[in-house]
Amino acid sequence: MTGYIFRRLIYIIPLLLLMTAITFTMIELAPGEFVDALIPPDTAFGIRLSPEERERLRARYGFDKPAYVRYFIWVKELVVFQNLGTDLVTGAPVLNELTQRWPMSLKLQGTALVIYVAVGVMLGMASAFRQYSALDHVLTAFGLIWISTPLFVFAIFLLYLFALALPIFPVGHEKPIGVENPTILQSIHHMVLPVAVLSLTGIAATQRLMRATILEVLNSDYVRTSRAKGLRERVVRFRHVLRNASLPLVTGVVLGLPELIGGSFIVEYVFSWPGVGSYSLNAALHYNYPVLLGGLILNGGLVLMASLLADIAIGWVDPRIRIAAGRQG
Amino acid sequence: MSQTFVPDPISAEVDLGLSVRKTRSGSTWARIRRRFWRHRPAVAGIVVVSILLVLAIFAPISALGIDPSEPNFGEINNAPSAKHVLGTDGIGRDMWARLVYGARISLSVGFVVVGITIVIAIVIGGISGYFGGTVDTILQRFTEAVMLFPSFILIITVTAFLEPSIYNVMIVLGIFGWPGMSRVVRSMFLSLRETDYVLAARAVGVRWPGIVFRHILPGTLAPIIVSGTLGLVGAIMTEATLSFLGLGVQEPTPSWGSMLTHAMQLPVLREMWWRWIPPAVLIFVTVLAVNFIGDGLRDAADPMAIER
Repeated sequence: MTGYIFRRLIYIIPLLLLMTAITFTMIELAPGEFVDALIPPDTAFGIRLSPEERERLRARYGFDKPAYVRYFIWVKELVVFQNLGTDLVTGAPVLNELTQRWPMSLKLQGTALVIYVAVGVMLGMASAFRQYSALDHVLTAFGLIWISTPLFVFAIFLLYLFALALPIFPVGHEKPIGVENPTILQSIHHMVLPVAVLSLTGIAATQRLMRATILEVLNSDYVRTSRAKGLRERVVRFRHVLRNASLPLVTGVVLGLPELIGGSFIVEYVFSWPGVGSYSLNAALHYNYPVLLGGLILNGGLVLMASLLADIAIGWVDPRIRIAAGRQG
Repeated sequence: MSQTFVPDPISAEVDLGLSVRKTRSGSTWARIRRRFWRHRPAVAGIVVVSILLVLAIFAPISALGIDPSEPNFGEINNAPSAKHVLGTDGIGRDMWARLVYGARISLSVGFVVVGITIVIAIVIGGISGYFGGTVDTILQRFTEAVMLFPSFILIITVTAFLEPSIYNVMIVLGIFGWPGMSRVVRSMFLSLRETDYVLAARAVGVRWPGIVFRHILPGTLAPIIVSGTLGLVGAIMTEATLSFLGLGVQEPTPSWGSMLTHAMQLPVLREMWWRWIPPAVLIFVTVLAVNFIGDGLRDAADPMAIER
């Protein structure tokens, strides 16, 4: 098992390198460049960069070196000095900027994750244990409606309903304007709408997954056996069905993480939430690639670590996998 | 051979369906078709998508001959009237015309992306499932990596740098959209290559291109279509999202997503419902319709359900 964990850990590093290399290449292939975004060619006042000035600027930002050299510099800085480069617009170190904003994003993502897993599992159970009941039909219909609504459409609707039509919640930001240290209640008040948006789609996905898995387990031989030997239905459900259904759930939750992170980008943008997402989106609009690569490493690492933890947890719980992994190394 | 440590509920579901051998190949499609038409929501979905397709294809006619990109500064933010069925936007363009032309964008992005996805998924999933062994292990690891990666960040990075345009959106979404489907294709190849008829074909001397293209690939079609509807949903939603963020289809080309960008201005959101409710509803209805079709197809293609 230790060998297995170790190999999986090692394998995260080339993956992150591969992904950043691909991103780097794509940025390189693209026609636009940061220097050009500084002063757009058709500025109103006729300000234009002369070719010499442009070259000087490129050299200043390091664009005069070939792409692969810049990539190696970037990797070296990251590995040796834990340096993610500087924000091209503000000049601040990207690592500082990101670590400053990350807690704000994690706050949204974490809360939403806990809510949607808990609610989704309960709804999925309610649906599956009463298959074809009215409740099941209603929940299934809602699930389908929820997954059919893109996050930003949800965000706009909730914004309209609960911030404008019924002004119960603020339209955005993490704290009231002009307040330096918000109270816990104020913070929660500002979190409600973004977290609600971020949770809803996740609830639907979890609920559908949970329903499908439980139904599959309910059809299995060991459930029939345990019923046949006279176990009470409660014992069958909680000891046999839910335990087996929890493994696909763990996998499903991990596979949903990239979507959660992508979703939080949109939510942060819509609700002007000062997290990694709105920072990266802004960077994307300004060719500010050190920031984007930093966000990519941060979130990519997070998801890959989560998937590793999930695999370990599954292996630890499920004897079939433990044995297979043990045989491997 | 298969080393799936992690049970994947989605492909497992499809896997179950197709590993059952069909006795009469001709009857399979007929049965799927029959069962599909009995699925009422799916039929409703087909109707909705067909209407949208007709509106989109004949956009010049269905937009009542109005140019969707022609600003008219005399008629800014007009409420719906006889002249402008759904009102006008901030620079006086007709909302109905923009919605109709927007359908063109959404649907064409959706279908092209699914096309790209299917090609990549068949190549990677097929190679992985047919050859197995080390090739399979490497390709599966790669697929997992792409699947787990927060691809939205990659997508916004790439679309931002590649100068936002509809074609770049199509390519980028296609490049990042294949992992789910390729797993389905792989598991189909894994089970189909062990079937008796493939063995028989091999025994009479059919070489691998014949086996792959004539004997295995047709059998993977049903799950590919099912998974393709999911891809269609994803592509339509992501295109709308990207355009909403200003990273997709650019003005003046109309797109449902970019129409919603204006809903972020609070006066529009508060007072001009015709500028944001119609595109929002259209995105929702389109996605719901495709989801219905997907559900219907999945049920129809699932042989386990036939036993009931």
